[in-house]
Amino acid sequence: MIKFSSLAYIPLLPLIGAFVLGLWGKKMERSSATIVALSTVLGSFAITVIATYTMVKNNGTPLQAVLWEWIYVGRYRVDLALGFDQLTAALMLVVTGVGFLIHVYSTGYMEEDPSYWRFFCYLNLFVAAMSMLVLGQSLPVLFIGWEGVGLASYLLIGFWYSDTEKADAGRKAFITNRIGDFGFLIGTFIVLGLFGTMDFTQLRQAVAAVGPTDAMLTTGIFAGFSVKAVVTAACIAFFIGVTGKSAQIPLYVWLPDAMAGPTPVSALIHAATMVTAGVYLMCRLGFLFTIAPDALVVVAVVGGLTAVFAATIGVAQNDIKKVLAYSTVSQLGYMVLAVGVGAYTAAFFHLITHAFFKACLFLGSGAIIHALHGEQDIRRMGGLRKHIPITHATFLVSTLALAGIVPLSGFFSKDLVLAFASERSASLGILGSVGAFLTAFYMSRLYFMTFFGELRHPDPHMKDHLHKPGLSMEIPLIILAALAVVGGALNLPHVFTHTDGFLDRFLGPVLGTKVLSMTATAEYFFMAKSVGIAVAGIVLGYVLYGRGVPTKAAESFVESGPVHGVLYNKWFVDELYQNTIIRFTRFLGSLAAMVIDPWIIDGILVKLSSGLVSGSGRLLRKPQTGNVQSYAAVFVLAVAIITGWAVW
Amino acid sequence: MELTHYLLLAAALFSLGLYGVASRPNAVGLLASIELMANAVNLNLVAFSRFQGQQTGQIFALFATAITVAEVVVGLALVIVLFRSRGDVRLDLAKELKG
Amino acid sequence: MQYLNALTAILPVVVLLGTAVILLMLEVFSLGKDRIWAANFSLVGLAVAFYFAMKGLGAEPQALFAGPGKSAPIIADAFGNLAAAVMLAGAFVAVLLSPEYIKNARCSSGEYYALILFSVVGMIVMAMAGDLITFFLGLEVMSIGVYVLTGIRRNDLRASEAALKYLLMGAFATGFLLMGIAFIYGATGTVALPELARQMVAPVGGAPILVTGLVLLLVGVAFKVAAVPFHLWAPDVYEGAPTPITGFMAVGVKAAAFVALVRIVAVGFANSEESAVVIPFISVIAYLTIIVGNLLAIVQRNVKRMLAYSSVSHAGYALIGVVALARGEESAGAAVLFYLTAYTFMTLGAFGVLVFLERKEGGAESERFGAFAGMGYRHPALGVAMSVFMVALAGMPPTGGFFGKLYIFSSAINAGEMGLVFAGILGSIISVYYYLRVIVSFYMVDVPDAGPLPTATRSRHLTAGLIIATAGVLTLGIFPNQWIELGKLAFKSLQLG
Repeated sequence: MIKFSSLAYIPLLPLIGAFVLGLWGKKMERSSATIVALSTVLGSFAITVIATYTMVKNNGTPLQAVLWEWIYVGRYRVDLALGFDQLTAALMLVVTGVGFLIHVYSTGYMEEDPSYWRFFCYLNLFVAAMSMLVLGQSLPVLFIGWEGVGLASYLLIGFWYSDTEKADAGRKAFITNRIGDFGFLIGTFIVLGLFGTMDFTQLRQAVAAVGPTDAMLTTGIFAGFSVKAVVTAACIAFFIGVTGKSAQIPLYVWLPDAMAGPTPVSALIHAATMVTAGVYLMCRLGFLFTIAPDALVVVAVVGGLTAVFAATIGVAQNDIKKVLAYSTVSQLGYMVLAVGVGAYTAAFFHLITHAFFKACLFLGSGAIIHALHGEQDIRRMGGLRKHIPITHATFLVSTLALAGIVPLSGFFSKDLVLAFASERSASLGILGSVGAFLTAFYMSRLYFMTFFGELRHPDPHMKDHLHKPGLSMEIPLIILAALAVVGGALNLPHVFTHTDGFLDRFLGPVLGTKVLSMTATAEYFFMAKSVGIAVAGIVLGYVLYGRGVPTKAAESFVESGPVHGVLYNKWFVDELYQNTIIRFTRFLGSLAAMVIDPWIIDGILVKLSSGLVSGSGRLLRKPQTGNVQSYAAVFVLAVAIITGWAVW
Repeated sequence: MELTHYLLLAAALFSLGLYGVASRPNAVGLLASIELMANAVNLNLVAFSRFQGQQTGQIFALFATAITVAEVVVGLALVIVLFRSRGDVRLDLAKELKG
Repeated sequence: MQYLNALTAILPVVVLLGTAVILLMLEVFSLGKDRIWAANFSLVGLAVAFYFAMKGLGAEPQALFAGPGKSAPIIADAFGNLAAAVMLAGAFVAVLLSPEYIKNARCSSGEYYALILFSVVGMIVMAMAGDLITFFLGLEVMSIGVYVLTGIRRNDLRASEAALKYLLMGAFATGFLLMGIAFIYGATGTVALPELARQMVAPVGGAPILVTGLVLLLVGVAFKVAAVPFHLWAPDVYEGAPTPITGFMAVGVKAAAFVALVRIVAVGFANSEESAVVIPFISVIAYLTIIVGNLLAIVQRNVKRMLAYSSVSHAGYALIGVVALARGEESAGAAVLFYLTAYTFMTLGAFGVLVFLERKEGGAESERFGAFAGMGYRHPALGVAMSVFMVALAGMPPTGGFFGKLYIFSSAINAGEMGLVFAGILGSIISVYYYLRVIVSFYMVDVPDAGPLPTATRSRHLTAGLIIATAGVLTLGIFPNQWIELGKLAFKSLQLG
């Protein structure tokens, strides 16, 4: 561990920015608000780069900054400590780097919003919280960030809070995430009870010191269980937290609704960074998951199912942001799947490339929506290729990357995940491949309907007064698209270079290394298969939507009919929840309203307890007459009783 | 004379004071009763001091007397203030604040 | 010469006395009607005294003014200095709250600030008292000052009534306290605390006299901290007193009495079977105080009075710490100090907001819950501050109030007092109801007719006071460890001396 106290400035700078904007933003000039918001995030990025350089120069020794001793009760001790190892470095560069680009983009996108300052205040708050999450050295510190990003996301989803639907979406995100947080806390407590520490470094040592994991514990609160069972329980609890934050089955429902927020928010929070926090958590706790293979099976299955499930829904959505949202859920599924098969580096690799191309796609969709004065329905788009060429080019590149076309970044990362998955089990591999095909299909559908054919907007003059995106919006798009192209170089496959990929080597000390065991020929074959699947999806998309409008076949099969109905309505999951969980709760509620409430709750608990409380309050008030002499009398009486009691 | 005699006298004085506090409706009377209690304590202190053959208690009694005088002075001043605004010093009527 | 040297060890007291005397003399010249200068001058005095108190933390414990072969009446150690620092900080904030109140209530009088300073002198003397005589002297110096301050609005009926009630009950309780000290002296032949610990093992005058003495002494202290059933005066007095003084009283008087109690229990009651008989009695008072204080706070409609009862219940939480301490749990000493510090900031802050909101003419009406409807929107910064104080008073993180309760409860668990911890937690849960009610009326109640608003204050003093209080509450919540370590260090000095 090397002391590097400047780490504190990474979350502190954006926090100061948020503070300044929150207090004085209203009175500030727009330009000065911009300077405050951008400079603080850029500062964080610079410090991250310096920290990474320092760490690498010291042969990868992690950096640490203990800010202060925080909680100190009995033998438990939690310092407010920040740490910086390879895993932190990788994600922090993405958070602050992509975060900065999205800040730049937002200056253009939010230009006309009256609450410009408030938007940047929240956005800075988010960057601060996310940095805290990534840098936190212990579970409680990570949890501060975990809650902080949740709060920022809640504020930003409901940013236009005058709109009830948007405020509702914010609330949905909030509540779903509370369920996840509950899991996180349970996991934390189990870990604390078992290992007596919540610090990652100490935890790693404690886990390493554990002998055979099947041995029964004889002391402590978990006596009678094996270490493996307890750790499995903790991992499942953490995974519940992950399903909330990283939008996995069954708690993914909030993410598509979260698209109600401004588009840069969707790009930053709901695609590139916050939603990956769950994946990060699992990588961070990889040493724990590794000794709980049963939990990993659950993780892999949930991840694989989510990947396919969300992709099917994405096929039938007409809102450009909804398509991208389900695509995000699906890609997060790949990352979770990778963790589930023990390929942490592959998960992280996909996390990084996904951050590039998905942020680019979201920002591109923002540019499209901006150009069309707020129109989000792809059925009313088309032909935009000619009008916004730069947006088109970047969108195309990112789409191909997402679909997994060689040699773009998405190809390498997704292929790695799929290879590990199919090595683990054939069915997981098939799930992944189906998802990949669907991804290629719905993305090409989205692309062709948006950019090809003629503009189908009901306002015939729309073509003439399109909002062309400015430089502040185009430059981030170009940078992100470039990253989406070259991102694959981060971890080139072994068969190409005959050496471990860069990321493999970089993250190895933290995540361990896992190599594919298949032969080079098999690996080439596997890659060819992946590209083939992607190309098949795109070709199908071109055949059905190549002219910008759905062909007859597409119209009857994808755009209407029973399959469409099911997919368009998202497999009726919201309705399922509505009809099962929510209705059941309502039923319990109405039962409660009829029986439990008036009789038990109201009658016995409320009336009795409130009667008891206020009644005793009123009774206790009796001596409070206002008369000094009665006070003195009570005083003497009390003294007499107490003295008598004490003496005899 | 034994120590007990002093203590009994003091106890009687203290009780008288207590009775006065509980029964006097007049603020001045109350102050006088409290003074009686304080004097009972002083008597105790002096008696203990003498029977233990050291001066601490007597010094304490001196301090206590001075302090109680100061207290009574402030008390009388407050009685005057109350008299000015209300016209009487009956405590059982001063019940603006209660509950 | 020796005494002159001794004075350098109690510089906070010397500075305060000097400031107060100069203030009284300057009053002759009657400089300006609002006497802002007097407030500023006392702030300077308090700040200098605070500086010397913090400086005194590092010094060796010194026994001062001891006659040859006698025990020392004043002990200047880290514990006394730390307690002094807390009380000085409290007084500082209380003075900051005052100019705005004085302006609104038109009760400007020259002695106001000097009396506050004199009271603080009494508090510091209590915190450093080496024997029961000094303790008593400090207590009375503090009390007499506060009696006068309570009644400083001479033209206000409620204030004069409150002051007279307070004085009468106070003098009455003093009679019991004195009697207690007399009995202890009679039974052990000493009033010096370290000596007391030795003599108590074999009391000369018999056990019943000693026990009666101890009980009466504790009754006197229980009265000062407004513990049930000796609390009856508190709500009336708190309501009638000028709001900044209410805050000062709730905070300073209570802190001083608790600090003195901690010293008496830790030094005077150390290692003695005899003193253990009073523990169940303190426990019962703690139970009663927590439960009755919270229950009565719920039924109040006047916020100031609600805060009065809330301060009663907080005395109960601190008493839990005293019980744990009396059981020999050493961490409780630091826990009580921490609790008092957090309590100082959150209570003064709440009263500060009250000063801000009180209308000139409203009287008791302006202190009702309903009068606060929608305030959070009209004065956003104030709303945030009040929310912080209420959340802290309810004992929720990330505030000092949370850690105060955490430390108190964990020391009580170590001492095996599960019942008290349970009562404390129950009390905290009840308290959430009435603290949140303030926030609710701040934010969630709509007022159809806004009516005449209390014009936003331009008082820099009040603003500064609220900022200090908020910062204090939050700092203790975010960096609790530094302060608790300081408290532990200070508590150690107590056992060395």
